[in-house]
Amino acid sequence: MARRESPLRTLTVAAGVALFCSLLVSTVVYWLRPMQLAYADIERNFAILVAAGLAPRDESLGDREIVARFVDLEPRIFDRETQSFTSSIDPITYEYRAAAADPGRSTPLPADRDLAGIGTLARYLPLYVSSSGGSARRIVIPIYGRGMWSTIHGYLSLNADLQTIAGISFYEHGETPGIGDRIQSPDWLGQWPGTRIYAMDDSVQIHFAPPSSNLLPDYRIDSITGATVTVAAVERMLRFWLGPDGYRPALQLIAAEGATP
Amino acid sequence: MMANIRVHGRRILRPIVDDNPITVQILGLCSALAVTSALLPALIMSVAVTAVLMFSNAAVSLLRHIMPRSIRLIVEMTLIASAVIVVDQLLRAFVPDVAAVLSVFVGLIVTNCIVLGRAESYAMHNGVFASLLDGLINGLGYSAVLILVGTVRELLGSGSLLGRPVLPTLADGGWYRPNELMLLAPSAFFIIGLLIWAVHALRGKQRREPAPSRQAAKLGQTG
Repeated sequence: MARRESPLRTLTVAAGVALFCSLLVSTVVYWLRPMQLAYADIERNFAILVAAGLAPRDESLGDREIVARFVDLEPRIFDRETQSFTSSIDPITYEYRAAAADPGRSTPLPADRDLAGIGTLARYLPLYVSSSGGSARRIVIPIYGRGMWSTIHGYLSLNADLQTIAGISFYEHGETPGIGDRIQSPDWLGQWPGTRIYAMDDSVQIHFAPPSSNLLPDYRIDSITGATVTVAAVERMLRFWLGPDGYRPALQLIAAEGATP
Repeated sequence: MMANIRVHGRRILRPIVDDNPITVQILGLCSALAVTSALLPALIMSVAVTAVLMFSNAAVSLLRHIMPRSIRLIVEMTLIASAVIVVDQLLRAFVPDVAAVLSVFVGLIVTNCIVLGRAESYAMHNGVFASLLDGLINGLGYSAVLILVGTVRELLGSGSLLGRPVLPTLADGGWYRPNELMLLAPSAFFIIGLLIWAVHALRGKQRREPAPSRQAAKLGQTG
């Protein structure tokens, strides 16, 4: 038997422990991944409902209840190349996150226009039109962008006037616990509805600032103390996704539809 | 034989009150502050820490004769970190809501001084079964404090226990005005401080700590 402190012994024990631990961890991760992904799907669908105003933020809905409420949402796909809505893609199975990561289905964004820090943009952009009750029409769009530590994902909805925010929810982020993760606090998110988005020249003017700021109060949402980087990231996300490279053309198309029924 | 078992039994149960890792050794405080604003996360965290303690104690004890001194700590940390990842993944798969509340504090079990403290001071010198038991008992000692603090904070801070209303709050038309300080981290400091005082006062003149505890306390003050 080798001496306890021999280099060979040290290497053998280190390799053995490393092998055992990596097998243990990868087995567990492999086995649990499907369950975690299923839950992530539920979270995401729930976020769509919350943004659309079809589910209260603090309620937890079952799988079936979530599916049932989706009948009030009409999914659509906007084709950035032809600048029109398309039916060539099935909106139910379309995964915009996978498409954005696939070079064949996305285009790189030049750095000066890539406000959200996402690198590539999918050709087809999904959105939902909610038509519950007729009058309370809302447009729900997915938004995402680089946050403090990882990508922030959420859904934003606009009122039928396409000028004001109707709802917002974030379903995935890696922001600092206790600081940046307050982007999920109901108190803060509750300030969003009603905030104006576009100025007269169609530029995105929605911004985050403390209540003492006098600049464009109708366009202001409170910033979060201590979460400067996170809030700035969310602001850039809004500017990008509501702007000309994001959903602005699709929204204008919807506005035109409303004008000529 | 019987007396031997009784003496041994008393000694092994010491971490629950007499040698409690939190109130006596003052270890593992930061997680105790962070996850006790309600009872459910405190319970889940208790189970998580106990499971990690048992696994790491058993694994370290199993390897204690073949572990070279030069890489002793890194081997222990690797085993502990792996156990924590496994627990974290399990929580994310089966209780995702609670996992979201516990957030980073599950991952931070790696740096919980109780875990490395027990591995170093007990599991390195004792058999697998005894080490497993030591992990369980120390986990229970940690759990006892977490559950106590979690109960007090949720009851006074939200008027509920495990999310069920116990004291009808003013907001629900009752008489109880929730103490919002209880939902903030400083309240855990106060409660644990009072608890430490109470435990020490009740035990009378505190005996000198036996060597293992002091060794554990020296290991680090970060957790």
